[in-house]
Amino acid sequence: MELRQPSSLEEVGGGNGSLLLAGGTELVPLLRDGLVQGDTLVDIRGVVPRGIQGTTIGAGTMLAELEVDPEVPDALREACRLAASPQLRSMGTIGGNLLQATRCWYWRLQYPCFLHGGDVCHARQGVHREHAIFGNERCASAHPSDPAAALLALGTRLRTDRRELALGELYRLPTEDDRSTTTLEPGELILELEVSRPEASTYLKAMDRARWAFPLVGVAAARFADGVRLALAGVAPIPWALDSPAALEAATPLPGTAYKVELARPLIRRALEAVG
Amino acid sequence: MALEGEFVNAVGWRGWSGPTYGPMEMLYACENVRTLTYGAKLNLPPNAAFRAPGFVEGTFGLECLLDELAARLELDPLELRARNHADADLVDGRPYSSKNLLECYRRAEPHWARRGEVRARSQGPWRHGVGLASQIWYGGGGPPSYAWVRIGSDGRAMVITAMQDIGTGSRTAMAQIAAEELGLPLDRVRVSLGDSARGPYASISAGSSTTPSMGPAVRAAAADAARQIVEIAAQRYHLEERVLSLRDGQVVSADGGSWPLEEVTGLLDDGQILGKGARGPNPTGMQVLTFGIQVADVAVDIETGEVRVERIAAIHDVGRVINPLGAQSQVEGGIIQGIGHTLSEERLVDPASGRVLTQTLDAYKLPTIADVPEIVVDLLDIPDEHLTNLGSKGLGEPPIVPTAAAIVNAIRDATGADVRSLPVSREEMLRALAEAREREKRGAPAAV
Repeated sequence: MELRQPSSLEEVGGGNGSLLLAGGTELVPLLRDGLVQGDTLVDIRGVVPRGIQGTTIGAGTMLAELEVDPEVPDALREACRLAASPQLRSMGTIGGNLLQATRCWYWRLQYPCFLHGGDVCHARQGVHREHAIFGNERCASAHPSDPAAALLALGTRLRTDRRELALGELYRLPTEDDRSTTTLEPGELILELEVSRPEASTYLKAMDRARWAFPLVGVAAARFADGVRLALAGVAPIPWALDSPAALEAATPLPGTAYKVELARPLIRRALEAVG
Repeated sequence: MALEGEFVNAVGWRGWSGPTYGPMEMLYACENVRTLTYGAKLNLPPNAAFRAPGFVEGTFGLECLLDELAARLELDPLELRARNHADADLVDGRPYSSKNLLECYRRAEPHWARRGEVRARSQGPWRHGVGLASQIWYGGGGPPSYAWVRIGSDGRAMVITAMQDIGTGSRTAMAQIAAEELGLPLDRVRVSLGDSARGPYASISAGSSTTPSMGPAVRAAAADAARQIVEIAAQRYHLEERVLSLRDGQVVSADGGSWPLEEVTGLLDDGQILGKGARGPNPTGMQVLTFGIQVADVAVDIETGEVRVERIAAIHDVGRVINPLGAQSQVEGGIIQGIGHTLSEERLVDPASGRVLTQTLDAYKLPTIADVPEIVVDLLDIPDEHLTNLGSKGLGEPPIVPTAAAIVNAIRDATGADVRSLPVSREEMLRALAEAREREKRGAPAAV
């Protein structure tokens, strides 16, 4: 396997068999497990901005940098602090974090599931306690990112090397024709995040142990002049914006994820109380 | 009074059915006990032994039941356990070689008495409570177990045995036993383990048996070597053997004379002393067991089902303690592992394909250091006078036995919710909390 280290965006290239590498905490395990294949690693750390300037966050900024920066809204800081472990947060970038693959065990173990291009979602009929309660008709996987839910509630916009878009437009539910969960084109790079400044924000997380676990349910709330925005982690194949607390009642839980609705309810209430 | 239990053990496609019935048959003085146990063959990986197999599961059931019984009887759970203390083996009437469980209960009282203060910490959705559970398990060890102690003319000792130290610190314990018997500082005793071709046969490092099996053999071997040294010193210095002893690296006589050990062994030139030791049998007609009790403090968020274990006090009776620091570490490890299977560890299997789904450390959730509570370890350290030349029992397994039941009893104390299965995942905790609320609404008395 070849490693390239471009120093300008033009040199990044992309194309077949070329994989973009930043912190490596996501890509390396996926390569190891045979979930992605490639012959060239392109180290993008030389070309993706890193650091925090006002409301602009470089996509190459580490989670560990975000969790301690007073300029960063509370919801994002708390989501970073509650994610993964200190070691992983010191390597993983916020751009990569947005693009994490699901932890669905069927997908990870390469069952020929809907997300892998197959006909059925094995989780729907099988073991799915960590799985989705929204958007789960074809694929019940859960998106694992805590910061993504926080950034969604914060009304984040992204700049890539090709376009600008709202964070919500980065994600899509997998369909019959296209099983991907993002709208990124091959080789497209997230460069910067533009994060609105809320009047108040918070992120609350329920997990199976005190630290280093993906969210069973994560709730982000951010209050702006025109109202409060809510977003959830761990409840759908993609980060899930919730129009209102009442929208929780529209959840379509599976038998093994019904508890997540019960779990989300007090967390949403508490998050709303926290942002006032 | 009577106890009846039906135990169905998942054995996998081929596997071992553990003694889940054991605690019910052994722990309390109850004349009428009936247990029915069967292994269920399932299309699953085979069941294999893991730290007190059978008793961990059986104790969870029995000790939660005991607390529910105490609530029905309006009796203090610790009092109920003390009143039903078994004075002799319930199955065949044999006396115990030693049993200090009542002393364990006595030492548990201050921890148990804190429950009013702990409950008073409840605030908002967080409810605090205290629970306890008793422990019974084997741990006597046994023959055949052999050791040699070789002393060179330099006055240094080497313990040789095929025993393995699988990470419990038994290597250090063997060195300590030999050092004490030889009157040598610890840094003059080395230990050579794990080779049955070049050293004498040893029993396995399993079943809480390494120290109680091997320790007596090492002590006997060291005593044999010490006797030979005294014999040489007696001849050289024209003294009777009975006035000589080994202390602080010296051969010491009752009249005040002393000679460095290496001076005595140096008389051998290139010769060496080889002491041999064998572990004798366990006392005839006696039951050798370990006992204890653990008291857990927990906090439960009754809205989200989050459970935090805040403190566990562990009081165990395992005979003589050889290495207090190692023993404390062993107890802490058992409790942390117990917290794991109580709160977060679960092997999930796909029902259609039979494949284990939780194959990675992010899916199979061991406790992290952030999940570890304050752990207070209190070992009685009372030698079993009927058991070998050492009076030590094993400690590998006892600490994990009562942890789950103590935590779940504390959850009930805090919330009134009856947890019925492990791990106490969010879904199980929320189910139990909803059931408790429902029961309260119907006006039925809560379990506590």
